[in-house]
Amino acid sequence: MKNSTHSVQKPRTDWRKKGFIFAFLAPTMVMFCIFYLYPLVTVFFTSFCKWDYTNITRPEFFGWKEMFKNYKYIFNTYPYFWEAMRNSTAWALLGVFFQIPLSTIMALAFSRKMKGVKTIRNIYIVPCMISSAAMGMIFLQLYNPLYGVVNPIIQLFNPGFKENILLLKGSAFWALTAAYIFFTGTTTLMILGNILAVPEEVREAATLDGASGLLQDWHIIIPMIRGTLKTVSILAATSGFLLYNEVFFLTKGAAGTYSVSYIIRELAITSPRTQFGRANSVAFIQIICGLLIIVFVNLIYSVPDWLEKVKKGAEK
Amino acid sequence: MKKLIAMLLALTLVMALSLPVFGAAETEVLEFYHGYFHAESEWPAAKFMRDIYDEFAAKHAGGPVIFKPIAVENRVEITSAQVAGGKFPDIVDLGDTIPAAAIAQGLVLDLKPFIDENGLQEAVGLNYTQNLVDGKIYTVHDQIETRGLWYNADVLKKAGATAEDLATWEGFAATMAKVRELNDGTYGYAAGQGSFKMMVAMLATIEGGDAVLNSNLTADVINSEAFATAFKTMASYDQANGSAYTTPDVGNLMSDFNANGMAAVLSNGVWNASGIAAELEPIIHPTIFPGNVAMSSAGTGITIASGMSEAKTELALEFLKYMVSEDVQAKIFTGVQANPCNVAIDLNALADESGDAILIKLANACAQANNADIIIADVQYVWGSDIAAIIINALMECATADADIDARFEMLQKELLAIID
Amino acid sequence: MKKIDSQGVDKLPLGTKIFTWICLAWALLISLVPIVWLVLSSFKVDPLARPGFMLPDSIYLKGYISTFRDLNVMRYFGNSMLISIVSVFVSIMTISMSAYVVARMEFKGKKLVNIALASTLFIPTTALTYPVYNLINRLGIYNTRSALILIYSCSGIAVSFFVIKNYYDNVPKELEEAARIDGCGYAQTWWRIILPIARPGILTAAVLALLTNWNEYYWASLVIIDRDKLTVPAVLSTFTTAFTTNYNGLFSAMVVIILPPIILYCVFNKFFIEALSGGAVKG
Repeated sequence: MKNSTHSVQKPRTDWRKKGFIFAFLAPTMVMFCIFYLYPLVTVFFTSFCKWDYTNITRPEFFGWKEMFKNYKYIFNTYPYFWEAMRNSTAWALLGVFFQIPLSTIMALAFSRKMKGVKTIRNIYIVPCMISSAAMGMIFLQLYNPLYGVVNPIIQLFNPGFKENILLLKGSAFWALTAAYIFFTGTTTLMILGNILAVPEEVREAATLDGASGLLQDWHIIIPMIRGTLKTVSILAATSGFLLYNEVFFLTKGAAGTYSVSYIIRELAITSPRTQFGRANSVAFIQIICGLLIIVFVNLIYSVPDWLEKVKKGAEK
Repeated sequence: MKKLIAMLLALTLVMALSLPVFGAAETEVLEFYHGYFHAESEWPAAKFMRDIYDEFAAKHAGGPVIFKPIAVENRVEITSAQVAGGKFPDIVDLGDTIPAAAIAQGLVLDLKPFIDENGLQEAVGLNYTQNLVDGKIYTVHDQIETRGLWYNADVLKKAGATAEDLATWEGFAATMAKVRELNDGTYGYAAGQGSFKMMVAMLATIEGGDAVLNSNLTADVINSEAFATAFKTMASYDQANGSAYTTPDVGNLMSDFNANGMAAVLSNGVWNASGIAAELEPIIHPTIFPGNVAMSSAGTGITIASGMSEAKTELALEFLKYMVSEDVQAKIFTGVQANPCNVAIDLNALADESGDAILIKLANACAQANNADIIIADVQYVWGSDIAAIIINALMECATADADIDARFEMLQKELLAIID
Repeated sequence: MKKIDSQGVDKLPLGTKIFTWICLAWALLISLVPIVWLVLSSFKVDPLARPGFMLPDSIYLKGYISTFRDLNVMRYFGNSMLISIVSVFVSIMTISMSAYVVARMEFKGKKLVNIALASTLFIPTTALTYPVYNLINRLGIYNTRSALILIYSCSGIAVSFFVIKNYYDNVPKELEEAARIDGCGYAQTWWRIILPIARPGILTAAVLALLTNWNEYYWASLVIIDRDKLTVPAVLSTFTTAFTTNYNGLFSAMVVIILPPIILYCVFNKFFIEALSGGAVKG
């Protein structure tokens, strides 16, 4: 370092900066490569391979002519793929169009300065502190036709009802959905944080303009927290699309409740007829769908801007 | 810059992957995964089995290899995950189909030479014939999975039926209908897993069912008349029985029958004797399936990895010998209250000697099964547990009142054809 | 001067008030019903005989007694805590470093890093099973808590990355420049100036990651074999088979196993609420 006077100042700083960037980035990138990149590459390439219980240590490429064999099987033959796809998509959409509005409404309710709000808000978070595995187990018991609470409630309206709702097509899907969809504590808090960060002056101005209560929320607050809403929408949609625990604990896929994550596990792990190649083609489809979800959510949230533009264009 | 990053990343990756095994022990450890994890208060037999294992461990405590039994609830999934990585647990009491990949990769030790050399043919009993695959024996189950029906004589009597009515499937259906007419909260039987076993037993009484029972799951089997008849008949029984009484694991509803006296019949193994509550003991009895059919499967039990060190393999085989020895086998009968595989064990003598009502019941159940006209093996061990799960799911869905059984069966055929593809 | 309190209840229109009450009632209902039912059932001798919300005819504690005797709840709870906290610490540390670099510095390949990390959001765990399982085996940490710590540290980096990076984006640049002029190095600036300011964002990410790890079931059920190393979700999955004939025992064990996180939350709810809301909500 002593002879640094000979070198020009700038390159030295640059070198230090580069070193800093590298040092700070490296751990994350190593994690990424080990845990995601390597598996990702494996998933992609082996989805074009015969890779099952007969050749588990040596996947074989199908050859260019037959390379889509796994995909063909999944699309045309495998009986649960489309059902799983439909369910997972529905759960992703429910995340965006049900969970997020619900979280927003709850966050707005919690943002009012009323007595007891704080206590109820704290209670609302409790289910999120219990693991989703435990919640699944609790709901399994609630749905039990012999000693649960759901059947007695149905019997109030339909006295002869004696079915197990987790086995009825249609109602099984909704029963499974209800076991997780209402527990929006963490999302609600993230939104609430944003609502409360809206400067008091903005609210005051709105109140003076005559907008208060829900009206104020709709016109002033919601547009201001759009960025956060978009982020949590993406999170809700992906976690809905990747739903696994609830299926595992409640139905194991019975009565039309397979999810994409669940069939990957069925193909790869649970079955004694291990099918890694096919499982990986489903996984690859799942990854692509995940990317589409981000694009989709981004599109939804750009609709207001687009409308604005159209309006302005019309005015001109 | 980019190159540097790439190089460093590659380096870390290589280092991470080539890291040596941490803390390689000097003495070798022979791990044994088993499924007896239950607390003693929940299932005393589990503790009893653990004691049997611990005794073996204690016996060999000073040796070069340490025997370490480990209770693992999801040992099937863990085994299949290990197989995917080209490994197999040292010893595992699997209780479920051996992953096909394990055998294809040669990860599992052939036990036949050891059994033959040591004259253990009688000691392993049914395993010697049922688990013989291409001249090799990959697994020995220390308990025979013998299944039949258990019935509650009081409930049957109240409904106006007797145990003789359960001798045919028509009689079984009629009896269940009578039980439902009681309308006092009692029901026929726990469907789901239980009805799958009944469906398999029913196959033995149907024309062409033999071929189904003795075959791998092929397209012919799936499309056969016998399979369709058995499924649809069982599904219609289940539907009449009601979807509230279905379970993928018969254990979930066992207490309704064994302790609460709420069900007329239970389709379960002979080991169910130990679960019967003391006050119901006089009225609960074993019988075999309608049509004089019993189900006795060796099933999957102790399975040993190939390619272990000589010392480890030796101890593993020693453990196998220990588990089928008359001493331990007698304990399995009296303590665990299951049907031991060793045919040299005189169950009746042991039961009489103890004078224990439950043991006498168990011995009776085993004797009935051994003397049945037709003894079949559970197809689950040939077809695979994934197939069993799919069929059980289909049966359970059919149990709802509005289910269309024919349509569901067609779907089931499609599912099964795709799975075996 | 009296400050106008626009959110004060007196100023709210009646419709909004009623709507808020409905929301609050719903919040109470949905969060309490499952838990209350569970606790109620755990006191019943035979939950089958008195189903639903029927009160128990007598308080029956045998299930609790045997749970505390046979089921080593604190051990599983301790495992879960240890694994979650260590892995959160590791992952949040590394992510706060890389997120800072991406948020504040210009370098080649920045976009690539962004896309790479974003893409991990949709990679399903199930798809990673085989490669990660092999990695764990090769490292020789199969069936150890370290395996889970490694997995949890590496997974879920996308969420943490975006939450923290968003927060860095809002920190004024002048602060760093001032620090640099004072002679702080890059690392020093980050450690002394930026990290304390970004604390709320980092805490949000940490609590989110903690909850995810706490809930994780898939890996926990695959890489741990010894019963005394299991985490809470993995133990829960054994409950259906472990309590086949004993509902009172099952419910008691479930109550006991969900109790520690609830107690922890009650004690630290200020911290949780502040962290999750990015510091805007005071507990």
